[in-house]
Amino acid sequence: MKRKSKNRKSQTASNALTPNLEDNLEVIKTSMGNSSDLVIRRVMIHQTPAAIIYMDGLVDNNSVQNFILEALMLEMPTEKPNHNLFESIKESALPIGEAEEIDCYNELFERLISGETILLLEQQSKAIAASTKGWRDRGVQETTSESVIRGPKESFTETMRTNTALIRRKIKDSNLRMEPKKIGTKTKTDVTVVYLEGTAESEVIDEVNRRLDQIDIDGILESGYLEEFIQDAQYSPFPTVYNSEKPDAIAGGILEGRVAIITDGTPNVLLVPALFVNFMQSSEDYYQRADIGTFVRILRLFCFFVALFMPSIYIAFTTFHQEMIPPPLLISLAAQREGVPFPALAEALMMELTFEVLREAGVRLPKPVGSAVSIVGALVLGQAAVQAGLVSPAMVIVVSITAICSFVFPAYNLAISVRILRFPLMLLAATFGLYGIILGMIAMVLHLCSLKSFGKSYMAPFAPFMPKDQKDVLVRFPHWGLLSRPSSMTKKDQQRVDSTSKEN
Amino acid sequence: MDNQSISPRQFMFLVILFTVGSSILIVPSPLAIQAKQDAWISISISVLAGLLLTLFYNQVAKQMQNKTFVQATIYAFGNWVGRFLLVFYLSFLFILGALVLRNIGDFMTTEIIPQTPLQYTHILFLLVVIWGAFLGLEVLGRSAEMFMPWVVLFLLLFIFALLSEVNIENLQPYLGDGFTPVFSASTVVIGTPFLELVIFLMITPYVKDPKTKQRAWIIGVLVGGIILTMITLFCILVLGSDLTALNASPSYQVAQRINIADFLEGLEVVIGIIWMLTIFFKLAIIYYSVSIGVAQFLTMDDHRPLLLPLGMGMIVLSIIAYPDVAYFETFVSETWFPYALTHGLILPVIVWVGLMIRGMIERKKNNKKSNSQSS
Amino acid sequence: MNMWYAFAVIFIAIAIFALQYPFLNKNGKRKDIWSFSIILLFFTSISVLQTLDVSLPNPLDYIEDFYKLILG
Repeated sequence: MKRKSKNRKSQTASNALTPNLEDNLEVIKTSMGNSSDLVIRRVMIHQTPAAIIYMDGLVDNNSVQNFILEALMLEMPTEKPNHNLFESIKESALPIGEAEEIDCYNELFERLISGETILLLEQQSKAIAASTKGWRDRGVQETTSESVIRGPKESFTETMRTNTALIRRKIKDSNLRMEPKKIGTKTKTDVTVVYLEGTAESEVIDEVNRRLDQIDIDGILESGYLEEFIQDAQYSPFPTVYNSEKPDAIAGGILEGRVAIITDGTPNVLLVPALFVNFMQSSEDYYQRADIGTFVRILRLFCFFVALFMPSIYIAFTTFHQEMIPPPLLISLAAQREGVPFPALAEALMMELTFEVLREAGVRLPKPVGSAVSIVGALVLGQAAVQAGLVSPAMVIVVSITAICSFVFPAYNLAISVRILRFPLMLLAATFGLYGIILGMIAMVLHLCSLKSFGKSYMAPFAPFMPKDQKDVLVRFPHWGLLSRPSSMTKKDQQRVDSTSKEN
Repeated sequence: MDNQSISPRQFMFLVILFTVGSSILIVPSPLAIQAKQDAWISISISVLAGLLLTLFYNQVAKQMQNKTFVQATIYAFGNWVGRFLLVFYLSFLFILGALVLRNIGDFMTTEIIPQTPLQYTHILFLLVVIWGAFLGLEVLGRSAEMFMPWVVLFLLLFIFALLSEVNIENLQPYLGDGFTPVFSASTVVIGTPFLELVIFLMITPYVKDPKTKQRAWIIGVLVGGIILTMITLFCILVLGSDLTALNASPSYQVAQRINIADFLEGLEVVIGIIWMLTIFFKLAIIYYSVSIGVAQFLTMDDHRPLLLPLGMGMIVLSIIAYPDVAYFETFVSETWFPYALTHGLILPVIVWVGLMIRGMIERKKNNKKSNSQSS
Repeated sequence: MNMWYAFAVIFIAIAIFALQYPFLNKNGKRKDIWSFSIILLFFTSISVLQTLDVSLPNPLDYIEDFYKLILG
């Protein structure tokens, strides 16, 4: 059904170019609605009227100037060519890498708008499109959202070509495949699927392609649009698509046999399949020494539990299970809570919500104002609220520990899901105490075990348990011990390191 | 039904959790009443009986050939007689589920959250169980893999932390009253959990790898039995047989004795959580089997729509099943064993024989057919 | 007060029915819908009776009586 409608559209709009130059130009002008950035430069080449058309701002002015205008107007051989002028221009006069013949309006507009320069000749129903794409971009800069101590600091940019180049520079293998796609009926956003042929499982690649091809939307402005279309678990707080703006993280994923999806216009590159453990790992784990990496990973898991359960456990213990708190601690807790007018749940909800608000405000505000917010937040939360007797100091400690722990995760989207899940757990704790927390945890684990990401079990390699993969999950073996690729990702091309690499 | 399958390892973990779950709370006390300080001997005898039972169940499973117990019974005895037998089997599982639910509810409302009404405790627990049964066997198997390391870790912690509290004299005198009370006490443990293992006849068809799954079942029963024996042994070693007999949940009480360097106290909560996890898996397996059994009994395509209605029934049954603990204790020590024996041994034997007869008839038919074809 | 619990139970039963009916209807098996509805109705009425404090017979009593009869 969809394909049919596309066909019909192309039939009506793809009327071929006419031999008359003026007619062609008229059509282009009217179709573009006399856009102010449309540049039409008429020239004469060997007494033949011609026109050079490009979109100002989308092309690299230098190359249009030097390699098209100069080449055609100044450096054309003076004698009349013995055969067709069009062919000779295409073959010998344009010192530009990509130059292609086009003969229909559809393609002409597509190329014009994506920044190519079109050359039209009188008496020709064909045109030449020369690739002169070039616009101001941000350039490769240091990553802002995923900073590392050791390791490459560069990050992806908004430009597709730069991003593919960044990956190519890391993986110099001819098996690295980059499949182009255009998604979005209006935005026609370039999307590239990147993987290592022979390493990535073909079922995963096919599945990625299938899901991407299904998308029919007017516009893709960020990879988040794609993520929502291709993710497995629509109704889950947990992310099943990984994203990063660090080329080394994405290259590492591709080397593990995963598939990257680069979207033009955003530095956030998607990586699938994404398992739970991937969100707990940072690329820096592989750059620091193995034992340090292991320690940090276990620390992160611990922080995951603290960030998730700390406030609810505090509520459960102070309201239901006071007898289980050691007496000295209980006395000091009770002394602190004396004079606090709210039940523990209200206190915790209030503080957690205040903190979430502060965090959100800090992210959105411009930097100078942001620091003001954090000062106010620290004073209000840390001092004034306690002194006014609104909350107990212990609650402030709990909330701050929770907050700090939730900053530990390298993946921001996992931190968000933890932030959200904290609230139902707090409600369960306030109604059923520890019993409610445990049942909430069981339900959460059941849900996690039911998730899949592109056919791979989300909790692998814990469940289903894969003994061989444990070398790179909680514990990171040294690189000479990471002999095989994670079999939870791919079963092909397993060998990674030759076991004789380190013998001494 | 849904084409889910679990690996033999996951199956083994489920068997372990099923064996340990809820028995760990309710078994030591009646054992200590009857067998006194020799409770651990009678539980060892029961483990042996459990292993023999498992060998028999494996034979039945072999005869069932990728059918669940419900499907196999209908196959062997036809629509009416088969369904007549299955009404008893399914009601046995259903009552078992309600009792297990009541076990966890009683435990929670007496030990951990005394303020909460029993019904709400049951409803919340059963909701999570339904969620597990809804997601299916595969998810249950995987979650068992997730939780198993924690269970093992905390059991080891439990045992090591209690080593300093052990008093060997609590075990003496050995066999003071002779063998009779020891044997009669062992029937309690045979009744729960080992005769309840018949429920895995509903699960085995979904286990991959027919070779190793028999072994997985036996190892699971063995490990589960050893855990039960260890817990009972420690209850008696630490609390003594009299205190064990008095407490409703001695395995929890014994954890209150844990005291590491006068600092780590209150670890019984952690132990309570582990007991809760094992009971969760026990009930989830029961619930999944009941719903799948009822769905196959009614030849429905999907068991999922049945989950919530059956849950309503199970909650009511769990509330009315026994008015007080005394009733339950006499029920467990007197009626449960013959009841479980009827459904855990006699019924499978009947089905086993029926399947073999049916198999012979089929083979004869096939022979006749092939004969007539060849001639 | 108990009345409200009974209403809550009935409301839950209706919610369960509304939740499951579309799935059952999609498969288009009449028999499934019937067996589902009967089971739901049966257990709902039992739950309602329980919330209204009607003393329901305990199946465990019957089992106990039965085995007492057999074992003497």
